[in-house]
Amino acid sequence: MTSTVLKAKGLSKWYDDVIGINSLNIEIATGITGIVGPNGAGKSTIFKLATGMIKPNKGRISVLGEDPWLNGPLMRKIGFCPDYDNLSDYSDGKRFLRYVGSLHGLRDKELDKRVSKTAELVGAEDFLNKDIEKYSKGMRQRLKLAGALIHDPDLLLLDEPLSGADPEARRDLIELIKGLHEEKGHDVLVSSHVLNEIERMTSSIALIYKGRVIASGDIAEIRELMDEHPQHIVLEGKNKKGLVKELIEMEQVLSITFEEGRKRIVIEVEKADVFFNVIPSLIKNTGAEIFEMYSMDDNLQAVFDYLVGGKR
Amino acid sequence: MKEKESAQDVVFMMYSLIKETTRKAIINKRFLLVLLVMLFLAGVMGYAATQEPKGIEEGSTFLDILVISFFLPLITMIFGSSFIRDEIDDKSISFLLISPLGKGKIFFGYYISLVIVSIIAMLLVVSSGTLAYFSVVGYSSGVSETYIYYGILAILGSIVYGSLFIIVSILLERSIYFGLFYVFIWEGFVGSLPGRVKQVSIRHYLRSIGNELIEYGSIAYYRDASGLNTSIITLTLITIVLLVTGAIIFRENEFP
Repeated sequence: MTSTVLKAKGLSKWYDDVIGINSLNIEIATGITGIVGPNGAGKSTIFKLATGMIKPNKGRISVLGEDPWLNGPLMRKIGFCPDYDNLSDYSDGKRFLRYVGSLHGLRDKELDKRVSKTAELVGAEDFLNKDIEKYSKGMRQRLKLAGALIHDPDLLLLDEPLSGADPEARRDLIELIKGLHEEKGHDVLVSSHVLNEIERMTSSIALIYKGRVIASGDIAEIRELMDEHPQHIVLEGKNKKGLVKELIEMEQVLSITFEEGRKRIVIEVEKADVFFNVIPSLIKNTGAEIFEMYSMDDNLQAVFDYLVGGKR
Repeated sequence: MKEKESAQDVVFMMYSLIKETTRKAIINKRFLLVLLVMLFLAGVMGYAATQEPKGIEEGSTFLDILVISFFLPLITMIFGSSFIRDEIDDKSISFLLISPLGKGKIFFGYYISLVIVSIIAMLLVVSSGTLAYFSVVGYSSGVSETYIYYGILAILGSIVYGSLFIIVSILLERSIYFGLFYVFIWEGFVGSLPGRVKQVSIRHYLRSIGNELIEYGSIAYYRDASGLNTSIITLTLITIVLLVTGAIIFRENEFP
């Protein structure tokens, strides 16, 4: 068995004047790998190229050692959950799964067995007999995932599988995706524009930006880059006077800005991990009432802006 | 190394595709149109049966004009122009594209479904008109044969028109406009011009076959009819060329 599940060399794909992927080079090993990038970075284009739905304009892509374009037999080894809703409303969940399974050659008892096993795996047993048109977004996501898993593929390609799911469903799906590799042995390539979500599934990531891989490897290294880069932390709440005094004294705090009539403060910090370790006790000791705390920079765009800052 | 699917697997997968696609087309709201056409035809032919002149000649002429020349291309166009296009637009085609079937077989699967749906629709339409007319006029010898032959023409027409409209649906996003142009201008207008010009329409060859089979009505007196063999060979060639071209186009198509 190959240790590389996907390999691209000089891969380019453009749609008229719009570049989807630009001379992309990537080699993805077995296990779970996260493809992370903001919307429009080219994540979905990689998945479409990997499933042979589109063909490259330049370069090569191989999946499990084979060219996916016009390669029907390869699709037996691949399960794909796209980022768009491709479920037809003219069916119920069970019929849909039976149909997708039969398209992969499953039949009779084997098909029945896989339908119930897959439905159980994704937590879709309770609504499997309901009409798809009555499904919530989370249910639809689960069913799509079941459709990708029905034929027990070696490699799962999951494009934004958490999009539209509520927080509880997200947590369940993250655990499920982790389990698909750890317990069921599937290799998984999963995309998201939310770094934290990918971080909860895997430590192996590739950052995609404007159709290129700008960084890949262990997520800790990417995080380190973020920590070296000053972050802006927002605090919202009451009785913050004492807290602000303490913050000014902190070595990691570079500046403090008051916004919305002092209700909201924006703190510029370096080494955010140290700051996050200290802040809970500071809040407690100063008696501040903080309703919300978040990092303005804890999103991919900030990381990308930082990583490609010098190149643009 | 690519592992080939066994022939039995391919047949089973094709069967699944055809069954599901046909089911979806029949429960789609678009199929209500067939019921409307049935009602319309039953109404028109039922009323005509109460007026003079009436008889098997007039009944056959109604089926020739209304069914073969008008509703057959129209209904096949309505189903054909949307058959693959709807699934491309709502992206539900992706489940097929990532199956081991391969695009060529997927295309033929869709085509077979379209032909099945069109045949069901057209047989219902032919039956409603025939029943409405002859239940008023009364059955005479030749009615059953005429009904069966119009049914055969409807089946042949579904096969040929289906191969045309399915290719249109993968080539054009708004294939219905081309379909309307083709049905009304090409088949309707060119197909009724005098002389050899009409030979470039599918309707001409269908009516030519009808001319050989049916003994009553306008189709029996179709003066410009081509021979039976010529018509069958021409329609077969048209269908094969369109299907092979369609399969090649679909195979090379990208689905972003």
